[in-house]
Amino acid sequence: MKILFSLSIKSLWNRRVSVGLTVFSISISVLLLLGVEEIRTQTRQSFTQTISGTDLIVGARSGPVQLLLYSVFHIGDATNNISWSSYQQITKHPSVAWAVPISLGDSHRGYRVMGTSSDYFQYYRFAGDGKLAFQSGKPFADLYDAVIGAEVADALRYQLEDSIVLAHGLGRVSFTEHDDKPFRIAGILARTGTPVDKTVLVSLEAIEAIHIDWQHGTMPLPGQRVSAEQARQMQLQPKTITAFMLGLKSKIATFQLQRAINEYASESLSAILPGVALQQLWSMLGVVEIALLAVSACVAFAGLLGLSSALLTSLNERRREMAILRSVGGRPWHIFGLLIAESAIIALAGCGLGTLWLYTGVILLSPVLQSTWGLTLTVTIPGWFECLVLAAIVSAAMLIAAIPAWLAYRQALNDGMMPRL
Amino acid sequence: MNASISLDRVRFRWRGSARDVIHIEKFAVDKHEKLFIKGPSGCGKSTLLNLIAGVFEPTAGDVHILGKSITRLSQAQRDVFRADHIGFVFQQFNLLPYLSLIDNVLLPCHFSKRRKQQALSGGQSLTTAASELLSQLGIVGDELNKNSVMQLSVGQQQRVAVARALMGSPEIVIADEPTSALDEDAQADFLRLLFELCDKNGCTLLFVSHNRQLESMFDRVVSLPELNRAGQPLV
Repeated sequence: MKILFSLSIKSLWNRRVSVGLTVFSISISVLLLLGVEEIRTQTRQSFTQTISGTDLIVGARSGPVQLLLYSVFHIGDATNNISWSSYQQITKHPSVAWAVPISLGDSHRGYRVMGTSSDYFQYYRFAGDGKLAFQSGKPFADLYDAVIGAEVADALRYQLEDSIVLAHGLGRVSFTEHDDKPFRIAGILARTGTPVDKTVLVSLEAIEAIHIDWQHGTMPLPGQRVSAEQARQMQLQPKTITAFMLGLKSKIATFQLQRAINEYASESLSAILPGVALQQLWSMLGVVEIALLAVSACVAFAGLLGLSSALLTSLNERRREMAILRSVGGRPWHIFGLLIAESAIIALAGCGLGTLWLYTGVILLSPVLQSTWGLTLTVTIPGWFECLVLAAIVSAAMLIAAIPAWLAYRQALNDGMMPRL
Repeated sequence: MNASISLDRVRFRWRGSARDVIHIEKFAVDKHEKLFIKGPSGCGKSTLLNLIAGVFEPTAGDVHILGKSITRLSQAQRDVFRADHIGFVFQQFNLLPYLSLIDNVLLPCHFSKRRKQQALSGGQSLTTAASELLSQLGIVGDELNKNSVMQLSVGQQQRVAVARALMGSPEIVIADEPTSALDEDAQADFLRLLFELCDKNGCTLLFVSHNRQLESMFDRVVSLPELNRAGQPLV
């Protein structure tokens, strides 16, 4: 067996250009398979960890995914607002440890503005136990203070103390701006890889203040305007909010409180478990990941077929080689084994090279992916899936090499030691 | 039993064919004999050699090699038997281009335990045994260390092939037109070296050629068309 291995290595080296191309094509399929899987698990991880530490999210009655989408991902709109009194009522429940209100509806140059309380910075968690950290500055203290996410700061090149104007509604280009009440950037958050990066955070009172002179969602008439300074003196308690996040003293109370909120008599509310809703949402996206994996599997299959056909076409020009091996005592199964060994070596080399591509790619691309999509790719030790993929490719290569190997075996038997060339 | 090779009423025909390619009533080669088999191409020389080597199985009859009926062995046993007892030299391109000279010569030792043991019986390493054999064939110094066998001349390649055939002292050496790629002077030199080494190792030599100028150097000459009753096939 040792001689077969060393013969196949030397024979392959002798044909290194064409063998190299085959190894390269296998390595590309390995890169695709592993890369898709890597991105899939990492996206899933950062996705399902967008929000953690929050036990319930409460909003107007809707499906869990929709509520999750607008409250956490800031995609789409709330079906309805919920009243401040309901918020007050529910947060008084004895099992509630903390509550953070959320008020959405405005934007700044395409980025969502979220009104909340300063508790948000304390209780919002992502990726397990990740806490919001400040790149610079601090939480909003003044009424017209804003805190911006890392991507907002990067994309719009904002710095502390810059003045920004919020726009009414969600369009990227808005004609109705709250330009009478500009905000000062008080803090810039560190990157999280979550939708927080794309958010402008202001206090709940600030949301109230910029809308205080608005009537039924339209701009105030010139005579009815309330100036920024006048607004400070007014009652800024909001009447409605979009949703709120709840943390409970004990996880055991979660389902009980969820049911209580869902059956809340004075208003139609929905309470969702963020983890469950995230999983639901991810499973909807699951078709895409299966499609990606299927495409990569097809590429791998094509690569293996290429390997087989490369071996097959080499057989004729290697007839002499096989006859020589026969004459020095090589048995037909040696010839068979030689081709299987060659195929295994090519596949192994392809797997090694592909894995190398992957890690090089991860190291080179992870800063870019992190800054553009907030996707964290880390170099991880190959897990069982990776090992399974590599093992499957090598086994499939050996299996598929059985075709040329069998032909070589037959040829060796028929040619004897005097190949008819 | 003094015969090294003996064929008894051997017939061979290709599967599906209605006529014999080989039909030999009686044919024997003595031990240490140097036999010249002559005949034009297409008279069944390759088939005969494949029968003696045990690569092909006769349709009828019996082939004895060194007193053993190889027709009663299984294909696998015949493969081992051949590797143990027979060395081959072919017309041209005998060597694997991706192996060094020494590795080419050592090849039979990897496939035959017996030949490996015999090569080691002198007390030296396999590599030393191989280079000694090569030096006896006039391949020394620089040529020995050439990385690629393709850098050798055809004559040198053929001599390396002889070294390989003799490595581990098999009892029989079969040479199939080994000189046809050489010029006349080189042919005689080649034969002298081959004979010298065969004598030294006590080999039986079966030499197949259509070049009748060489036959005078051999112990005995057999014409295959006369021996083969199947006559000339239409190949």
